[in-house]
Amino acid sequence: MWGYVARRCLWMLVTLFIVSIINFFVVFLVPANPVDAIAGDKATPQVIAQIEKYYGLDQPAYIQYLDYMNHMLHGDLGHSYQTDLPVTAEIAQRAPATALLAITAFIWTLLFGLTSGFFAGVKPGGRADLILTTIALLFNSLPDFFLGVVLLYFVAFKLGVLPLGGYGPPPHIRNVILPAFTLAAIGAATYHRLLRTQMAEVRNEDYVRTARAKGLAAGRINVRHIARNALLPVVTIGGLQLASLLSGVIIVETVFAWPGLGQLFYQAATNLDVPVVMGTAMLSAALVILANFAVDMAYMLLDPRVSYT
Amino acid sequence: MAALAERELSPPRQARQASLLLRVIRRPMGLIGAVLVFFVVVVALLAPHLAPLNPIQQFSQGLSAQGAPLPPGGRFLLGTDDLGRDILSRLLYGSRDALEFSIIGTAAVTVIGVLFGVTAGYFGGAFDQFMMRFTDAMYAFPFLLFVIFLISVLGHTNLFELIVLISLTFWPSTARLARAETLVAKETAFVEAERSLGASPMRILVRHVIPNIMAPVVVLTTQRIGGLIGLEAALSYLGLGAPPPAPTWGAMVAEGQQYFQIAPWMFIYPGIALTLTVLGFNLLGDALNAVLNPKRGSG
Repeated sequence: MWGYVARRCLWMLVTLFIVSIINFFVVFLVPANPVDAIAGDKATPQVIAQIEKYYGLDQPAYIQYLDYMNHMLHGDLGHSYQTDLPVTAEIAQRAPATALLAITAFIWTLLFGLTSGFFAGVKPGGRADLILTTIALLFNSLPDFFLGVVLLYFVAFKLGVLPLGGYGPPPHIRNVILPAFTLAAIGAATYHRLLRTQMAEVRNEDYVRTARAKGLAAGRINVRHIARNALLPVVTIGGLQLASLLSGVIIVETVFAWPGLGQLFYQAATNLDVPVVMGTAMLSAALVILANFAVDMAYMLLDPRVSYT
Repeated sequence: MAALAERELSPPRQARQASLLLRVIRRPMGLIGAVLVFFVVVVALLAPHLAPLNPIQQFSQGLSAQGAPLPPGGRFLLGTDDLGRDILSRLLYGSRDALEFSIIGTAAVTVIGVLFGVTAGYFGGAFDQFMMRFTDAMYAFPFLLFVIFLISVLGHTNLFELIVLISLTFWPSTARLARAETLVAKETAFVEAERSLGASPMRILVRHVIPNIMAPVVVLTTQRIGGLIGLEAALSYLGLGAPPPAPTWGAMVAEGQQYFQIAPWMFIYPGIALTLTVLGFNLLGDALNAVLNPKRGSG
């Protein structure tokens, strides 16, 4: 088992390495000329050559890559073309807003989704199931940006009880409510569907019938025999959802003018600010790889039938 | 022997397919879903005949004396936008982009994902290791960010490019789910029994593993058609979809957000159209899922 864990750790590094190569060369191969963006239209050839030299753009691609990786391993992701600040500083500046939104949204998502999925799954076809599943279907079909604009219009503009977007003064509580609710309401629908579907499926397994036959209480069967086994796919989706939330949510951040990593990336992409694009992409890749690792470890603990050799 | 008996007992293929649609629309939710999807498809096909006005024409009568958008009613049934264009006509035309993109994209993603996931999960070993690390890398690779980056760089995009990018982006999630389910399915008693009877891997995969993992895959695929309609709308909301003045629902919501204090109808109608379309596919998929997986109970 520990051998498996160690091997997975090693693979995690290999994956990150492969991703870094793909990332770098996609960005590099994109037919964009960042120098034009930095220097402007009126730059002389000398100025352009100087800029290329300054950012190392006159070197061949593989040298640039090795250079980039060397700096990355020393904690340096380069400097933004736009602001000339270190990319790490840009990310660090946006990280608190993204973390606040991501963690609030993730907790609410699990809370809403697993609670309603469980109560719907306990008695499929029952009244609770019909009501909860209809609500989940509606939220599942609502595009996040539309729900965001609807909430802004009715809650923030019409009722005037919450701010019309933005980050607001610390501790940002009033401002985080609407974007986090938007993400949670939509995310929860996925967990509801998944947990409910899985519970209905697990319910027909032999061991559930055995548990029922030997006279265990229904509540105990629902929690220990059905829900626990139904959680398997929930873990997969949960790990990846947290990773994607932590790397920034472009759409919802845009709707609510929330200054997180999603906005940073979006602005960098539209301004062809390659080092920032590369840095945020690497961060999000690292988070996803870490989440995948965590999911695999969780599978090992949750389903003894999965062999880890 | 058992397989032979089963084949003789099951109805001919055509009858089964006909009854599938019947069984779907016999469920209330399935019927609503089928009607919504049918409606959107018809609207998309007949948009030029149904639209009362030119969707990109800016009507001078479409603005009030102060230059504000007109509320719903009169000549412009659902009102006009900030440029005096007819919202109803734009809505009808907007269905085309949404459907083309999502249906082709979903088909590509599902086929690629299931093939990779099931093969990796069933055969295990070095192939599984390789496939999973590869999907990890693909998954971890933030394609969506790059879709946005590439569109920003190119300054435009077309449907084909977008579908290729989307297929590359989304198949790993299907693959991982299919693999995880295959890992469990291949340890079940009936697969072991088949194997001990000497059934070929191909037969086990096609007849036992794939049917048994389809439940969660259908759920995911269902969500994906709706999801891709949402994604296309989201990209156009960000201004990265079909360039203006083309009518897309996402861009209409974005324009509406700018004016929502004076003209809320600008974002509400396209948002509702979008939601109902996604809802239709979700309901239809759910009903299909319930019919295809009798094991699942009433669903």
